[in-house]
Parts: sequence; structure tokens; C-alpha cells
Amino acid sequence: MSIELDNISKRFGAFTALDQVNLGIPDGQLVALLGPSGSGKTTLLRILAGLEVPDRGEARFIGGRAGHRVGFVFQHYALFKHMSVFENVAFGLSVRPRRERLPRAAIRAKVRAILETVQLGWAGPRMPDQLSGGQRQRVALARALVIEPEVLLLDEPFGALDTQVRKELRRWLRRLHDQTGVTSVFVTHDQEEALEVADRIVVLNRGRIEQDGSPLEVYEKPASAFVYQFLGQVNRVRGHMRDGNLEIGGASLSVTSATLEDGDAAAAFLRPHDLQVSLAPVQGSLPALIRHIHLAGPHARVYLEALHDATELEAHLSQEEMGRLQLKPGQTIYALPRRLDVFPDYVI
Amino acid sequence: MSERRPVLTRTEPRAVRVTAILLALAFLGFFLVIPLAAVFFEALAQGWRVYLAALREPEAWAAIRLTLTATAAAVLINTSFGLAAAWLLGKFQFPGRRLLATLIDIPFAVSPVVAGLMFMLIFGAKGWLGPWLIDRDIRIAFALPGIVLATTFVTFPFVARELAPVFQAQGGEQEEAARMLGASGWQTFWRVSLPGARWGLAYGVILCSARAMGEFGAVSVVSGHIRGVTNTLPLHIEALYNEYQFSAAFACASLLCLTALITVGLKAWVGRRKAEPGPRSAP
Repeated sequence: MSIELDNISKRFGAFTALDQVNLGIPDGQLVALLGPSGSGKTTLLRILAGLEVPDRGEARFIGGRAGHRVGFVFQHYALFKHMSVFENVAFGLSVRPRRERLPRAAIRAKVRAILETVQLGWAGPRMPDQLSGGQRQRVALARALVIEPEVLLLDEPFGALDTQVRKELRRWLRRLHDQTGVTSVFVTHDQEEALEVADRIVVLNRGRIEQDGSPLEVYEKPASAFVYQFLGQVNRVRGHMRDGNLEIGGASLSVTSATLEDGDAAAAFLRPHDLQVSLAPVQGSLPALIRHIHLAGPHARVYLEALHDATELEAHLSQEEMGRLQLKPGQTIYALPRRLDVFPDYVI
Repeated sequence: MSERRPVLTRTEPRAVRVTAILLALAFLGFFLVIPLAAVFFEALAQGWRVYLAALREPEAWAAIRLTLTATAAAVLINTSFGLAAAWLLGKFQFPGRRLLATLIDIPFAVSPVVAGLMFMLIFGAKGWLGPWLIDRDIRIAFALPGIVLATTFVTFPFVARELAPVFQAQGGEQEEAARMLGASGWQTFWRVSLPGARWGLAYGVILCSARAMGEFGAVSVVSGHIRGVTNTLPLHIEALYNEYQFSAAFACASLLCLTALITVGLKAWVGRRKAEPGPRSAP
């Protein structure tokens, strides 16, 4: 079943949660709604679920059966505390009108099967408070999946779990989606999670869609300064445009994508791995002072301070390069961007 | 389930601790244990035979039945109302919510005698509705309906006040989850919200029953003190006492004390269950 969101707006008092959002989600896609808190991502999900009514606009489900079912997974699980795991999962089947309801034995078999799928076959008689967070979230998923939803909505599904469990569960969610192919939308503020799990990422900021594309697109070609900063680590330098280049404190850096006029104030973004370090001045480089060097990890992190205005920069260098350059704190080097994207300079 | 924690650091000298404990025990003994023991002692002072006779006596038996009937009715009414009110207060935000919460507390603030007079003012022979009711042969004052009304008014807040915070603490997520799974509002209430608050409900019902059985002031005004007809157990005890029938009075009083002790026991047990995050069930 596919979903169409048409010009959705929603306000809570003076706060605009969503501002004319348009979004189409084709059948079978796994979409991440990514944004900081207050960006409207959860409101959008709750409108999809029918838990919230938009002030304007319309959410349409296309091509589903009449009375389509939506599975919803809450951030804090929302398990029924007074019911066993088995009863929790069976709930959606047992509340159906009598003529649609499966016989008792069939419900039992279905619940057992889905509990096996989430690797909790043993947990049926347990109470929710006897399970760990990760186990509870899997019960919540089983409870949502057992009603065979045509759309699965997940609100920060792994937000309350610790890192290790998070990583396991998100890979597991991806595999599950590959098996079932249910159209799924999940909300997250964790860019790593969105990049790893989703087919498509919709970046939200202040109730508007900043960018909508594949993980590669949003990461490699951020459409705005906001997306640049929100996805992955980034360095920001400020300057002015001149002859299509960015001028900073006397240095002139060549720009990868320029949409600005000469004389415009510009904020330029570059990822730490796109910053090369050279010992001698080169055309289009920025002189900078080495502050610290962190050697631990897959790459060395070199913290720099631009000489002209003390802007902090971070460069990631391979261990081989570090060996070749023999860098020391206190040394002056020349930072050379491999790529540099500029956006109009405004405070974010 | 609670783990043993290390004993708190003691700072007070032994003498102070012993004195404090003795003071507390003396106070408890003087105000609770001795009076309670005295009731049972007086009740049984002339032997079991007299004790049982005092309870079997028709007027006493009528008073016991009336008290139980009025309590059952009041608890039923207040449970239905309390559920509805607590549901509103605990789950919804609406204009007038605080006003409703305050109104529910009024019976606690009003003296029971005033509450009784209030009902007489409405339903009494010279009250607003009294003559109209008497014309149609409907008896409220000096009859069971009046007693039930007075008892209900006095015990009105218990269930609502116990349940509202429990409903509120549940939040709305479990209800939303139930709704997303296709449950109707009715199914959600009976299968999710109410079972989740069942110990709070039990607690409220127990408190409500205890207070209803012991109610004196309001009932005293509306009952008319007709022996064997509109005298509840507390009123019957007062009547016996005023007639110097001490053994019989204390025998009936011991019944009320017994129900009080049972209530306290139940309350402690339910209170413990209520404090647990969820029921423990063996897998």
C-alpha cells in the first residue's frame, strides 16, 4: 500500500509542527523521517497513524484493502503492563469483531509463530516488566506485526535502548523488512540509524522537508546547510564569494557547487575526510595551526585552528598519511579542501 | 522482592532512640490499643451469651442489614461515578477540569451534619421537594433512599480521588496502542485502562466502604431514628448507649471495630499490590 501526504499543516498553539508538507511513499519502501526534536517528524508519523488530525491537508492510503491496518511501534513500547507477553501479542487478534475473529487455536498458533520470529518464543508467559528493553521492543514489534499491517510505523523505535542493542535491532529490522516488504516509516533523530537502515531519508527541520532522497544522496549532496550539519560531522568556514571562489582572510578557495553571487556572505561546509593537509602553501589552501592530534581509531583526527580568525577545523587523515607528514601540535600547516560546498551564510 | 539495604547511619544516642520509641508506643497504646481492647472487653464483659443475644436482637439485626444495604448502594453509586470522573480527570484536558476536581472534594470539606441538613432542606417534609414527594407517596427523608443519599454524599470522593492519579500515571500510550491494534473505545477501557488501574480501584472501594459503614452525622439527620427501621448500626449503638445498655452497645460497636480491622488489613494488602509495577505471575 502506498501513502500520499498532501499539503499537511499542523499547529499546537503557537508552535508550528508541520508546515505544508508533501510526501509520497511508494509500496514496500522503508523510509526514515530524520530530524532534530521539534522538527515535526513524530507529528507527521502520528498523522499517518491517525492518532493526530492535521489542521490542513490530507493523508491518503492508496491501494489497500478496505479498513486497512496500521501497525504502530511506540518509543517506550507501550506494552500492556498487566498482560503477559502472549496476551499482549494476541490483543490485536482478540479484539476483532466476532465474525472476523480467528478461532482460539489459530490465534494461539499465530502468536507463537510471530514470537518465534522475534526470537522470543520462550517469553510468552512472562510479564513485560520481567524483560529487558530490547526484548520489550521486540514484543512491541511482534504485537504490531501479528495483525498483518499494510503499513508499519515506528516512533524512535530504538531510542530508549543502549548502543549495542540498538545496532543489533536495527539490522534485524532491516532484515525483517526485506522478508515482509511491508511499507514502513520510522522516525529517528539518529543519522547513523537512518543511513544504515532506510531506503530513503526524509530530513525534516522546523516543520518542513529539507531534503528527500536516498541515504547516499542526502549524505553526499546535502541540499541545505542544515542537512550538511545534521548528517555527519562537518567543518564550517565563513567568507565571501569572489570570482566564483570563496575568499577567506586572504586565501581563495575553489568551490565545488556555487549558487551564490559575487560579494555574498557564504558559509562553506566540508567533511573532515575531505580536508587534506599540506606542509607547504598550495594554491587554494588555508593556513592553520595544529592544536591536538588524536591517533587512536581507524583514522587520526587532527584538530586545527585557522590562522586568520581561529575557526576550528577537524581533519581526518589515514595512518599512512600521518606517518608521511610527521605532524606535531603547534606546527603551522596548509589545509586544502578536496570539496567545498557553499550556502548563504545565516545562523542555523 | 526488596533487597536488603545497609542499615542507616545512626547518629542519635541510644537513650534518645529508646525514649522516642517508648513515646510513640505509649501514644499508640493510649489512643488506639487500649480503646479498641476496651470495646471488646466491655462487649464481652457479661459473657458470650449476652454478646450474641445483643447481636441477634431484632433491632440490632435490622440495623446491621440497613447498614450493609446502604453501604452496598453507596459503594456501587460512587464506584460508577468515581470511574467516570477519574477517567475524565486522568485522561483528558478540558476547560473546567480543575473545577471538577475541586467539586469532587467538597464532601470532604463539608461537615456530615451539614450534608444531612442539606438533604432535609430538599427532601424533608418542609423542604423544597418534600411536599411534592409526599403527595406522590415517595419517601426519601426518614427512609432508606435518604440514608443512601447521605451516605453516598459523604463517601463521594474516595473512588474518584484514588483512581484519577492512577489513570493519569498510566498516560495515554497504552490506549493509543490498543486503538492502533483495532480495539474500540469500549474494549480499550475494559481490557486496558481499567485492568491497569484495578488496584487503585480496589483501594478506593475499600476506603469508601469503610467510611460508608461508619457514617454517623449525615445519616443521623436524615434517618429520623426509627428503631428497627431507619437506624443504621452507628445510630443503633448511640441509642443503646444513651439507654445505658452498655453491653449491647459495645457488642454492636465491636462489630464495627472488626470491620474496621478487616478493612485496614485489606487496605495494607491492596496498597502493597498497588505499589508494585505489575502483577507477578509464575511463568
